[in-house]
Amino acid sequence: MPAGLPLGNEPDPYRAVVARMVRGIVQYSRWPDNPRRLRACVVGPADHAEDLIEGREVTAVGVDVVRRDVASVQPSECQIVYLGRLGIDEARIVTARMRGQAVLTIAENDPACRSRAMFCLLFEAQSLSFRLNIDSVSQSQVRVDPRVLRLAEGGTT
Amino acid sequence: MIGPADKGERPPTLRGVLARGHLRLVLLAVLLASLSLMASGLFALRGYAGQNVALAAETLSYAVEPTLVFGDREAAERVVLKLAANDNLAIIEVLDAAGKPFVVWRREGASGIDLGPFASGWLGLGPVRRTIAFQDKTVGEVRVTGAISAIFSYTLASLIIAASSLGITVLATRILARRLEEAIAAPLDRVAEIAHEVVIQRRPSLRLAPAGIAEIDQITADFNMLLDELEKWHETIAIENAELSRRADRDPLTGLGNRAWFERDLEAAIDEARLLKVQVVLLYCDCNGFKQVNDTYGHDAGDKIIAAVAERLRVAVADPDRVFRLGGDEFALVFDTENAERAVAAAMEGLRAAMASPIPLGPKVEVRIGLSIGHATFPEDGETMRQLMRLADLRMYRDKRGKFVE
Repeated sequence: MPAGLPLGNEPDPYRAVVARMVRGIVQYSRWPDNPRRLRACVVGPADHAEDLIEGREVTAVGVDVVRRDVASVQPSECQIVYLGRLGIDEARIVTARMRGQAVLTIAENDPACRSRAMFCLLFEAQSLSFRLNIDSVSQSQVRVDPRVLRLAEGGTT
Repeated sequence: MIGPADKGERPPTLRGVLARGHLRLVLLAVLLASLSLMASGLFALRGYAGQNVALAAETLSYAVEPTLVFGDREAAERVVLKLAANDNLAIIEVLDAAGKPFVVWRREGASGIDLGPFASGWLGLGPVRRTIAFQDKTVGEVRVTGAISAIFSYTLASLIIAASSLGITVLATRILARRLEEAIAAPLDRVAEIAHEVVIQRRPSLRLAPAGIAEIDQITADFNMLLDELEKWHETIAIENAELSRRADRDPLTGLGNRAWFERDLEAAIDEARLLKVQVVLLYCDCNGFKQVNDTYGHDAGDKIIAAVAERLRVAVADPDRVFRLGGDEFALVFDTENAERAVAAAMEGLRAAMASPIPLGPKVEVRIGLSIGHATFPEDGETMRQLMRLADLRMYRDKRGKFVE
């Protein structure tokens, strides 16, 4: 789905794009009890989540962003989990905990999408796209618009 | 021939008139049917085309919405290409929030016929616009234009079908029309033929057979009645003509043939004798002293004398029909023979003997009438009737003069 990158000499050209991507995914997702505000929990060290953490783009659509670590992140508290640079085992611990809950999981550093997160971001030279873990998407209580699923790189794996 | 003179422009035949009438009717019917079918088909197709374009625009606006939100041009292209599989679309445009083209697709060679926006709009080909709003914000717009190809090929197919069905119908109706034409024209032709035969060949005994069509049978019956009348009239005329010619050929006083008949008879006798190599004898007779009787006893007496002489001549000859009264007191006799000399002598002898006894005029009056006779023989005395007549006349007068002198 490559999303265009702004040209420039910024230290991290991806930070704004990541925030926009998360906003888009959130906008096309539906939570069971339709909460008025959503909380996004950024877990672990994130490389491109500065804008997200500052609330750019996403605050306007009703998302509050907080930081959590692997041990403390709970599905009751977070409707969105953004996985930073975690090892595969740590990431799987978190995704296992969120499995079957009303939580949208997005992995930043997992291009092969083995962490069992629902969305895995793909950073390419000129664009940002994502992959899907269709098992996780189907088991989650969060309903993602099928049109967004079609945008996934390489279809739904 | 009958009827007005032919002026080179023949009037049309019944068959031709019927054929032309049928053809026009068929052409009108088929053209009306095919045109109305085509028109209604076009209207229906136009409706479908409009729905198709609107549906395509609806589908597109739904499907490209997230691609606009995510700014994913590749995914938008995939959506557009999928929609482009629909043959009836010509142009698909996706514009972003700023109104700049995001994805534009045009069917290759689709715009072979550019109808212009008005016709294209009437045909329901759009362009149909849909604004894409996402969460109360306009994120873009789609524009879809339908292709003319479906309507064009429908129109072409209708025209071809109409033309071929026109051909088939014309053929079939020609065959049917010909049968009808024959049923009507053939009996009428027969009427004309019989009428022609009656007029030209003078055969009023011909009659028409009924044709099995009420109107024509009526004509046939009337025509036959007319022929009946004509035949009767014809017969009456023939009888009257015979009577008239009998009267024309006979002398009313004596009942003998007159001069006209005499000349015909003599002419015919000469022609026949020429073929049969026989002789024809012509005798002219004139009553001597008739003028005196007439003057003395009156015209009634004269008539009686003439009638009596005629009767005696008739009795005296072999064929009473060949005794003629030429006028006044002149008579003529004609007969064929193979020995003219002897026949003339015998005839003269016979005639004189016949006139030997006096003719009674009243209780106490009787007169004796003598005959002056002149003869001429074909071919010895002349080859033509005129020569024979002149010679016989001459000899008769010579005979008369001789008697007078005596």
